[in-house]
Amino acid sequence: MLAAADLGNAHSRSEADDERDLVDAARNGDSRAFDLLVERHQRAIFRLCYRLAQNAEDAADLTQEALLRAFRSIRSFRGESAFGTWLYRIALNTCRSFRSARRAVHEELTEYSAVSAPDGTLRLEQDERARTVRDAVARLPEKQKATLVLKIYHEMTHEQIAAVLGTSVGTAKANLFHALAGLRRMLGEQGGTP
Amino acid sequence: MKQRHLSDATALDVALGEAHGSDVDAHVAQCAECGARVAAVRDGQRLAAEATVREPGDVFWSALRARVAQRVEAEAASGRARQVRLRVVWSMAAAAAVVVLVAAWGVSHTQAPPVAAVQAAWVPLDSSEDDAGLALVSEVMPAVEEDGQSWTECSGCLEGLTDAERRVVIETLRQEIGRKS
Repeated sequence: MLAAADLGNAHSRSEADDERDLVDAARNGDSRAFDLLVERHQRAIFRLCYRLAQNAEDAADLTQEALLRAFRSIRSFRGESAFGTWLYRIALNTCRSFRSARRAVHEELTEYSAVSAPDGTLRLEQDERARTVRDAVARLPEKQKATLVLKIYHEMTHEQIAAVLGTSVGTAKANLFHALAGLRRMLGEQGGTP
Repeated sequence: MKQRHLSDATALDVALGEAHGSDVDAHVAQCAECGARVAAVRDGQRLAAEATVREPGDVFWSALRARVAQRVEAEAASGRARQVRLRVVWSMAAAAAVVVLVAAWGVSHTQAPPVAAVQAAWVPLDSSEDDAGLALVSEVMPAVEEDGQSWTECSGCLEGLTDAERRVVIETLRQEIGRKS
């Protein structure tokens, strides 16, 4: 178990070292350490799932599923890539399987909406313009879309994208090129309807 | 000389302002086709940036984290239960294997015991006609009845004997039985 003092002593150590300790503890079954990893990464994973699933309810469900999958297989994580990269990969695979076998369970998501609605913090509906662009992004081929999302919305480097998607840097760049050019083609030069 | 166009990757580098050679800029300035490709990518980038989404609030993140923790805990608990079941099954299998091995060893190392004389579990008693004791009793009975007492009453009389008297009676009966047989 990772002692609370160790967990709270992160300021004097690098974030990477701290994360490595948390991962090691989680690998040994420390659910508290895993909870701290969830706290660190849940936003990024949710944003990724949201961009790919196009709605908050599915994104919340996918985020949970991805994090649970990560917990189940954390013993197989060998630290060859960053933990975040590994998580992104799991989240992407979760989104892919979700698309092929869409689940119809929404109770938990309704719960989130109900909790968040009163203070207005969960207002993920954008104006019509943003919605149009999001719809166009959703129509991109799978790998192009994933590449665009990771680059534009998660500000990853080409190398990081290649690591997450398991491709070469050149392929990642080509995918991004076609994604952006395709988006422009779909929306027209001024960003209007194609 | 045929002009060579930029690769997709290089056109992307130019559009995103990432590192590329000065000769690439010169090419883009001269080549309408590559210029258009770079412009298309820049437009695409600008459009993509417009697809903003609102960020959920702290309540949402807390609820999401709690839900994940709950499912992780349930998962860990079921994993522990599975391990315990597995351990029990393995222990039982190991114990059974030990028993089988010991039994097999015992069979192979134990010599067959000599055949003992078979003794019947039940040996029939002599019929009452051959029993000297019963014959003695039957001889005593008429005497008792002659005194006007039943056998049951007589047995009550015998209960009143002292140990010394009982020994005398028993000895007398034995002698009688020995004499008769």
